[in-house]
Amino acid sequence: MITTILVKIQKAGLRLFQALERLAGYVFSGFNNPFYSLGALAFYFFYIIVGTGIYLFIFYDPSIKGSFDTVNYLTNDQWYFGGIMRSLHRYASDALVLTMVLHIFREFVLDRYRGARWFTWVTGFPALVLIFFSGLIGYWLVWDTLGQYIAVRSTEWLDWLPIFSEPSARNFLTNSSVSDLFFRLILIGHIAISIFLFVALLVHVKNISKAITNPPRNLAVGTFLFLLVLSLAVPAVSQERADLSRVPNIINIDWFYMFVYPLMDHWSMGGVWALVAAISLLLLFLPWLPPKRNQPVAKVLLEKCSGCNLCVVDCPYEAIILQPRSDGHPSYVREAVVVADNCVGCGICTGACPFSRPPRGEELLTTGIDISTRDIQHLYIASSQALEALNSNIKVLVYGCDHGADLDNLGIQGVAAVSLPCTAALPASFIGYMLRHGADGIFLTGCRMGDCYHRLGNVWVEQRLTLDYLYRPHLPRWIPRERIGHYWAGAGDKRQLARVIDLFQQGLHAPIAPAQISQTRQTPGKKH
Amino acid sequence: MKIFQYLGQAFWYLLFIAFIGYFSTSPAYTFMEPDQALIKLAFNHAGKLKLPCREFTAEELAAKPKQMRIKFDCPRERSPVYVIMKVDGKPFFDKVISPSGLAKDLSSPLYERIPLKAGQYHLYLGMRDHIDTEGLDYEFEGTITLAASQILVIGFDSDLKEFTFE
Repeated sequence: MITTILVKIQKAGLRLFQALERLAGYVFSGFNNPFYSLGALAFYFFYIIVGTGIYLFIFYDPSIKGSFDTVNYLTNDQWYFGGIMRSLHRYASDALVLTMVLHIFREFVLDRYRGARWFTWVTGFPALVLIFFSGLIGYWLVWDTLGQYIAVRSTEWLDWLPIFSEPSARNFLTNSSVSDLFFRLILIGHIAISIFLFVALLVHVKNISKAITNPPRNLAVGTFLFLLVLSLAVPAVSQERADLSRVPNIINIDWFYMFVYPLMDHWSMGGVWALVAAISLLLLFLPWLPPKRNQPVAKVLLEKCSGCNLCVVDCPYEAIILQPRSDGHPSYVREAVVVADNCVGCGICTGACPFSRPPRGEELLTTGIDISTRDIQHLYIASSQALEALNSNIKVLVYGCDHGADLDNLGIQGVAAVSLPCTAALPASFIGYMLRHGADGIFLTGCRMGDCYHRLGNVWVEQRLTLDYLYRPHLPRWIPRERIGHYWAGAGDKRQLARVIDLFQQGLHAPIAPAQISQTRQTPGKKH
Repeated sequence: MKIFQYLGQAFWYLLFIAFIGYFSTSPAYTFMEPDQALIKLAFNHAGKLKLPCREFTAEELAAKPKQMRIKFDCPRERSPVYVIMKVDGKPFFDKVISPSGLAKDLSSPLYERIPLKAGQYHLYLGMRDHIDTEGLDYEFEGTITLAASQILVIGFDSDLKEFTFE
C-alpha cells in the first residue's frame, strides 16, 4: 500500500522535475542548472548564514531589552550594512530550507536514496532537524512578537511530551519570568547547533568522494546577487517588541520554518507530534520501503590488479580502498579492496582499470576490477552481437546507461545500442576496438551533464575522451575523433537523443576506411 | 543570444527570490482574533501528603536491618490537586493533576490556556489539595475584566494559600 503510493509520488515527481529541469536547461547550461546543484546550494546558503551571523553576533546584546534594541539598531540605523546582513541571514536561511526540501524530494524521485546510498540519506536527517532547530531558536533571539509566539508555542508543544516535571512554557508566563541569562543561553544554543550542523553535513557527505559542496561560480554569484536585491528591496524587519502580557494576534510567520505551528491551534499538540513523528519515521526508513534488491558489487581480480589507484580515484562512493598486497606479488605493493557496503555496482571502476581492454586472443575477457553480473566479457559479447545485427552501410554503436534516455528502439537504421550501469563503465579502449571491428561511429550518451545518476560518470567519460595525459585511461590520439559523438540526455530526452544520433550518423558520410583506424600509435603529447 | 540567456536566468532568480520573499513573512497568520484575550491558569502546587506518618510496630522494626530502624513510616506520595474554574457560572476547566516524580512525591504542575472574548466575567476558582478533603480547600470568587489581547496569568501562591492574578 505505502510502496504503491510512494511509487506514484516518485513518478509524478520525476515528471515534474524533468519538466522544470528542461525549462531551466534552456538558460542554465550543464552544471549551472540549479536543479543539479541543490545540495551544493544548500551548503552555500549555510556559508552565507554563518558569515552574516558572525557580523550580527558582534553587535547582538543577549538581554531582554538589548536583544530587540540591537537587532533594530542594525535594521534601521545601520541599514546600509547591518540591515543587509540581517536580511541576508534571514533569506539565506529560508533559501537553505527551500533547497534542502527540493534536494530531498529530487533524490527521492530519482531513486538515489536506497541500497548503498542509505547512509547518505539517513545522515541527512539529523542535519534537517538541526536546521529547523537552529532557525527557530534564531527567531527567539530577536524577541519581537514573532519570537514570543515561537518561544511560547514551542515550549507548549514540547510540554505535551512527558519529559519535564514542570511545564517549560511557565518560563514565558510574564515579562518578569524571562531573564537576561535566558538570552545568553539561547545565543550559545544557536551557535552550538550551527557547529553541530556543520559536523552533521560533513557526516552526510562522508560516503561521497569528491562531494560537491560548492555550487558552480555562476550560480553562486547569481543567487547571492539576487538575495542581495531581495534584502535591499524587502529588508527583514522586526515585528513589535515582545510583551508577555499581551497576545500576539496577527503574526507574519516565516512559513519555511513555522509551517507546523498553525496546526497546533487546530489540532491537538499530540496530533502535531504524531505528524512530525510520522514524517520523521518515513524519511528515516524510506530507503527500506522497499529495500533495493541486492546489487552486484565490484570484485577485484588480484592477478590483474596492480594497485594503480585509478579505480579508487574514479569511484564516486568511496567504495574502493588500497591496502597492502595480500598475495606477495614481487612488483606490486598494494591492491584494491572493495568496501561492499558502499558499492552500488556502477562499474565505473571497470572503466577506469587499465586492464580493461578488448580481447587479445584470450577466451575469457577479464580485468582487474569488475561487476560480476555485467562484467567486461558481457560488455564485449553485447557489443559484438549488437554490431553483427546491424545491416547498414554506416554502422553506429551507441553506448549509454540505464538511467539516461531510453536506448531501446531508437528507430534509426544502422544504429545499435548497448546499455551499461553507467557510461563510465565503458573502458576507453573499447571505442578503438569497435571502430576496428565493424563500427563506423561510436556514440556515447548517458544522464544529463551535471546530473549523472552515479554522480561523476559523464565527467569521467568526457575526460577519458579528451585528456592528454597518460595517468588516467584515455582514448588514444590515433582514433579519429570525428567518428565519436556524444550527447548527454536525461531519462525523458529519447526523442532529442535519436535526432542527434541521426545527425551524427549522417555526418559520417562513408564507412570508416582502414587507414583511418591505423593502430600506429603516436607518442602521447605529440600531434599527428 | 547571450542576452536572452541572461534574461532567462534573471527570470529564474526572480522567481526564486519572489518565492522566498513572499513565504518568509506571508500570508500573515491570525493566531487569535484581536477581540480575544487569554487566561493562563498556571501554577506548581504540591498537594498534601497522601497518608500521615505512622509509628512502626515493634515487630516491623525488628524485621528491619539495624541501620534502617527509624521510628516513623512517612510515605512520600502526595495527593493529586483538583482544580475547577467556572466563568459566569459555567464550568470552564475541571482537572485532577497528578503529582510529578516517579514516586509521585513532587508538586502538581498546571499550565492551561483558556481563550475568552474580551469583556467582564464572573470568575470562580476552586482547588483541593488533599484526597480526604470534602469540598474544596481554596476558593476564589470575583469579577475580572479582560481587555482585548490581554494575557491574564492566574497562579497560586502556596505560601499565602491564595490565587494570584498577574
